[in-house]
Amino acid sequence: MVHLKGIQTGILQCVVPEELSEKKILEEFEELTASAKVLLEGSTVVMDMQGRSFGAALVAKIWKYFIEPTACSVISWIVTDPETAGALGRMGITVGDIDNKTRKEKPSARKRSNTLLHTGTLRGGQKILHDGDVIITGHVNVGSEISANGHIVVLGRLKGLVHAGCKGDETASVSARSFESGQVRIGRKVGLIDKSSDIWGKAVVITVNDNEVLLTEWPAI
Amino acid sequence: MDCRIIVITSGKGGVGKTTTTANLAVALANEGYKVVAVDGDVGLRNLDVIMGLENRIVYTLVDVVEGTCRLNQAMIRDKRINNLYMIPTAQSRTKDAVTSEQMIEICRQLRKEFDYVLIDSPAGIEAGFRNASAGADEALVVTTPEVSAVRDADRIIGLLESMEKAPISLIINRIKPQMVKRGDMLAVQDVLDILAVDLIGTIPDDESVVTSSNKGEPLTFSNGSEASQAFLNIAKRICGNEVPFMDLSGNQKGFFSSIRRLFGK
Repeated sequence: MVHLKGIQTGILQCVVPEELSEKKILEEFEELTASAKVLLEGSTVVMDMQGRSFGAALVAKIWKYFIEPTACSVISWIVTDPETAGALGRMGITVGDIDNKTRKEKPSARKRSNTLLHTGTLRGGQKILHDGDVIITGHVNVGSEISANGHIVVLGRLKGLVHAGCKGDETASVSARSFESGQVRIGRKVGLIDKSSDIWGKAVVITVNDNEVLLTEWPAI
Repeated sequence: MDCRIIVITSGKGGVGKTTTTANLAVALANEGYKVVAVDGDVGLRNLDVIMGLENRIVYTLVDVVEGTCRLNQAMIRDKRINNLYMIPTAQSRTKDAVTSEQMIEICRQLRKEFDYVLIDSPAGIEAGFRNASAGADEALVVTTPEVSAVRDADRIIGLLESMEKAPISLIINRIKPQMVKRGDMLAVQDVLDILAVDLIGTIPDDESVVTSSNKGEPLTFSNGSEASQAFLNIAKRICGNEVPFMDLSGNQKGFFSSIRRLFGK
């Protein structure tokens, strides 16, 4: 599946798995454009094409289906296939992982917190993948998903599926003003909560403690 | 006035998109505006039946995009009311017979001639919905107070937001006040709490909607039912008028309780 990762402040990495067919890639780009346009608009993106061997035709199609409709800026293409890297280089396209280069050029970026703030409600079908903390100012509705490498804070109702510390960090937490989801994931742990639970609909902080997912109600102020 | 192009959509099927389109088209024409209702549900044509214009179809939207006829030739003028037109779609084709670009071009042409263009969208989130919505500026999302319909409406609102349609307003259809009162049906506030968009109208469940659809006479032509009044109120709100919302909480006082109160004093 084509997906987005936040790799550092202000930069998104768009990963295009090499096993996907060209047709499937374009379909998924169309879907991504529709569902994450607000997130992508004006953003800086690195295209990670992995080991795929491709040419100008696919670049043009990606431009048509993804780059142009979302108005994002692609600053580099990560390709591990040497022939493709050479061909893109000859077309004047920047090739290679920008990670270290950008860090050297913008040392201030490294110091800033890698937090994604989503204002408003995350609706069914919408998905956030982020390498850092995520704050949602509205609700997280049924059918939406958040995977964050760090903490997740929801200021509205949490009804969707959230995964904090998605790369295995079990010190991450989930905080929600009203917890109304049957499942929550932290690191490699999955917590299942029944609707009849006393904590359902309450303000909670969810952490992993002694290998168990622990829900704690926010203390009254 | 500047033309307003509004897509009527829902995500889930069977919640009343086509009925809403037909009734609002009539109600807006009643307000004195020049209105066209466009059937965007290619392959599953229904708007013509509900508006009672099926026998007058010669050309369809698909004929227009294929260059078989001009746009004016596909428009059917409703003889029962001034300023109301309908553009039917093809029944024998599929959703890919019309592209987004072609819908945008059709809307561009209609914009010059009409005050309101209402587009009836198909159910679903695929190409049919995207094509029907492509040319619209605004959206009316129709839902019923059922968990599945509300969930689909949430999905569609997300897609409409990403397509930059604004404003997106909500119509809650088929409310049964007694069920709401018993706690067996989502209340209006519950739905609004989930969807977090502006409410433009609530429509009570009313048997006359079914009979009017079968007869091809939208309620807003003459019927004095509650549902008909609800559609007229929505049309007024679309035009920018402030109209109070009907009380569909199930707590409203009935005729007999009013009489009892009168004699009880």
